[in-house]
This record gives sequence, C-alpha cells and structure tokens, in this order.
Amino acid sequence: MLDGQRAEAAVRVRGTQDGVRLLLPPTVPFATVLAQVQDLLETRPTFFHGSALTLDFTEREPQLNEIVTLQQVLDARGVRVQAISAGTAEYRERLARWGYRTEGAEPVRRLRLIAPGSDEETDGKATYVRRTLRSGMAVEAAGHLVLLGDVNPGALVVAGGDVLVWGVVRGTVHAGRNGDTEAVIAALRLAPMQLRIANLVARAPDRGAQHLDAPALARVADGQIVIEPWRIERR
Amino acid sequence: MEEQQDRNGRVITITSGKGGVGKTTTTANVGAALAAQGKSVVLVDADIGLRNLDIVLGLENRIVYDIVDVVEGRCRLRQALIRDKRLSNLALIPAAQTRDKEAVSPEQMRELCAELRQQFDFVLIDSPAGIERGFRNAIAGADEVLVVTNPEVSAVRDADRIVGLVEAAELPPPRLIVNRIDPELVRRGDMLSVEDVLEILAIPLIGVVPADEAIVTSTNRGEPVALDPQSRAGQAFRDIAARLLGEDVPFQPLEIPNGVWRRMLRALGFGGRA
Ligand SMILES: Nc1ncnc2c1ncn2[C@@H]1O[C@H](COP(=O)(O)OP(=O)(O)OP(=O)(O)O)[C@@H](O)[C@H]1O
Ligand SMILES: [Mg+2]
Repeated sequence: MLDGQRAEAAVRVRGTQDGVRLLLPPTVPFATVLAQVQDLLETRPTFFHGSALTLDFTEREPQLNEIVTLQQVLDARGVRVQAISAGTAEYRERLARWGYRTEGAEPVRRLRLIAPGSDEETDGKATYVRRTLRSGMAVEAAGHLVLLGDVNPGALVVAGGDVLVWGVVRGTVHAGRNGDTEAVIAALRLAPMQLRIANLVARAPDRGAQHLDAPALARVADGQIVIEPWRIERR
Repeated sequence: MEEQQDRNGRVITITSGKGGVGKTTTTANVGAALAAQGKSVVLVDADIGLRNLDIVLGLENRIVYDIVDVVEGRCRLRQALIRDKRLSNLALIPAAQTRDKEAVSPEQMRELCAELRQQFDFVLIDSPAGIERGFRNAIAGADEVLVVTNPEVSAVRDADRIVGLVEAAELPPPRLIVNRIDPELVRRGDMLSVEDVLEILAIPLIGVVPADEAIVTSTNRGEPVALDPQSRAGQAFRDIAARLLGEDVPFQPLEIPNGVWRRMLRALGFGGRA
C-alpha cells in the first residue's frame, strides 16, 4: 500500500500548477498530522487563505474521519479542498464512494458526500440531498443546500448560501461559508452541536441544552447568530 | 462431517465502532442460542490480536490453529474449527493472538465466509472495535450486520458512524442491539433510553439486553448466559436469535418508558418514516 515511498513524518506543502497540495505522511498518528496542518495554517495564513488545495493521501491510507476533520479545520481558515488524491485504485474508488472528487478520476455523480463546492454561480441555485447524514459524513454545496433527512452529531453541512434541513440538526451546519451574513439555517428542529454563518460561530451550551421542539431559523442579527422559532405569519 | 451439502448459510457480522460495548458477548450468546435451536453455527473471531471469543465460550485451552493459519494455508479449515463443549453444532474459529489486523485481507475474509456458509446455517463474525482494517475485514463477507451499542452518547455516535459505513458498503441497513440498558437509570433520566438511541440511529431494532452482572461472571466461567433459562439477559439474547430466525418475538417490557413501543414498531418496519 505504501511501498516504494520514503516514510515521511511531516505534512509537506507543494505548490503546483493546479494549486497547493498537502502531502500527508504515512504511519504518523492523525493527531500529529492535524497539529501540523493547524501549525501550517497559523504560520502561513496569507499563503493559504482563500486557496483551493488538494489533500494528497498517496502515502497515507485515506480515512473518512481524517478527511472530514481536515476539511473542517481548513474550512475554518477559508481554505477549500478541491480534490483528494489516493495511491491506489481501491482507495480512489473508496473516496468516490464517499463522494469526494479524486484526482484523475471521473467526477463523482453519486451524492453521498458532495465534493467541495465549485466556483459556479451560487445565486438561487440549490443542491438537494435526500438522506440522513450520519457521524463522519459531510456535504458541501456551492449554493443553497436543501436536505431531507437529519444531520446527526458528528456530521457536517457546508453551503455557500442558505441551509434548509427538513429534519433534525444535531451536528454542525455552516451557511454562507464565503462570508454571506445574510445566509440562514432553517430546520424542523435545531439541536445543533455548532452553527456557523459566514465567519460567526454559535456553539451548543456545554450542558443541559434546551432546544426548541419546533421548526426554527438561525440568522445573524447584531453581529451574532440568533435562533428563533419559525412562525408562519412572519413571512 | 456433513461437508458435501451446501447449506447456503447466512453471514452476520456483529460490530459497534466503540469498543467494549458487548460485541463478543453478543456473538457468543446469540450463537449459542441459535445452536440451542438446532441450527449449525460457526463463530469467527475477527478481532485478530485481541482474541476473546474463545474465553467467553471457555474454549481457550483447545486452540491449536487460528484464522490466520487458515487464510495463510498452514492448516485446513476443518482443523481450525473448535467444537463447543456443550453444543455439538456450535463451532469457533479463533483469532490469532500474536498477529495484527493486517494479517488478513478483506478478500481472504470473503473467501473464508463463502467456504463457511456452505457448511453452516449461520456464520457469526465478531468484529473488532474501530472503523479501520479490522472492521472492513469483518464486514467483507457479510450478508447482514448487527450493530451493538450501549445507551451512551459516545457509543451511539460511533454506532452512527458505523451505520453510515455499512450503508456505504452497500449492505442492507444494519439492525440494532442496545446492550447494557439499566431500566432504573433510564427511569431517573440518567441514561439514554432505547427510544433516544433509535431517534438518532433510525435503524431497525433487533434486541434490547439489560445490564446484568451475571454476564460478567458467566463470561469468566466460559458459560454463555443464553444457555441459562433463568437469566433475563440470556432471554434477551435468545429473543435476538429467534428474531434472526424470522420469529415475531415481542420485546420484553423491561420497564421501557412510555412511547417507545410506537417507535420500536416503526423501527421494526410497521409503518412510519422511510
Ligand atoms: N449486558 C451486559 N451487562 C453487564 N455486563 C456486560 C453486558 N454486556 C457486556 N458486558 C461486559 O462488558 C465487557 C465488554 O464486553 P465485550 O467483551 O462483549 O465487548 P466488546 O464490544 O466485544 O469489546 P471489544 O471492543 O474490546 O472487543 C465484558 O466484561 C462483558 O462481560
Ligand atoms: Mg470483543
């Protein structure tokens, strides 16, 4: 699987024609990899900010939790993951099954996890996803996102525009990821781990969270995220 | 042995994500209960490097060959099969204790399962914890998956992860066993109820096993509780076996809080959401 490669202990950065590549080392515990990536982002914020990069797993066995966690971290710094490369056909197939765009492979059609949004026009466009997102799954859309199903704890939804969930949100949802503070998050029930709109973050209270047992909408008001019950007469 | 006829058995993997929730206990007990019903059953310990299933069955002193010996061709399948001391139609293929998960590939597991299903009605695979190679090995040859969880937030989170991976592997939706439920703690609101767990996982329920100290002692003695007619946990495992056989066994009302019935019925496929 990793043969022929010199074992590297550190995350390496390569600038290529197609943008930045992050080469992830084999055998190193993921916590170390994550710390190194965070380090890179800290020390070279302008280099990374707003860029689209490729996660290079050719030396490391791709694991969904690692990818999703890296995406979350990069995401928080405005770095977009555009593709993931893998060392073997089996791994590329696995990535495709998870819904990621793999380098040199056919674009993914099946919508398990949507590859990071492209730069297409987002106005008024929505992506529709019909499934419950379980722990470790991520969906990302360039425009709005409509999801029929639940967002479970440990799952992640990211959209350029609004996020509408016909289901229960227990995981993390990020609307307006490119800085749109007008973006909203609406759900049949909002019991989230974390909500993000543009660059604002609202966390669930650490204990004894009381959630509305009714449809709700989260939006930005006075520079912070507020959650209100959904009232039909409002609109 | 009756090797000529193909029994076309079912390969069922017992897995969980989080460790220590009761996969091995479930495998041993459901297997014993199925065997007690007259089915021929083989239990496969796929937790290579952390061999356990043999102990739960009290068979550790009989191991000569193990699963790695089989896939590496050091012995014939028949030589690695250990017959249970109580039930003649129950057998075990032990894990290797001195190797790791990489010693077996998913492809080899598929082949092994294909061979075993010809000889047994049920092939139960005890999966290791985690979502890595060991898990992929364990589900490689499976027709069905049972996910074991405890009524704890972290166990449910990992179970959810596993359910997603099972779905991604294009296996049918796994069925759920909630193990170690303590009705008293649930009543006091100090433990997730079966209903809470089902709300998140939204998969069919196949068993609810009460927390029972007798399991610990029976495990240490190598006597599965499923063979003890007095044990309530044993009854729960026998019920799981019966449901696997297609029987419509009602869930024991172990002081289950109100409202759970409707959800259970829904989870079992009687109406409700898709
Ligand atoms: N219903 C129960 N009541 C009380 N104790 C239980 C119950 N189920 C399992 N146990 C105990 O919990 C411990 C862990 O169980 P078991 O070994 O079956 O878990 P496992 O999921 O196979 O663990 P691992 O991930 O390490 O393989 C054992 O000591 C077992 O006796
Ligand atoms: Mg075990």
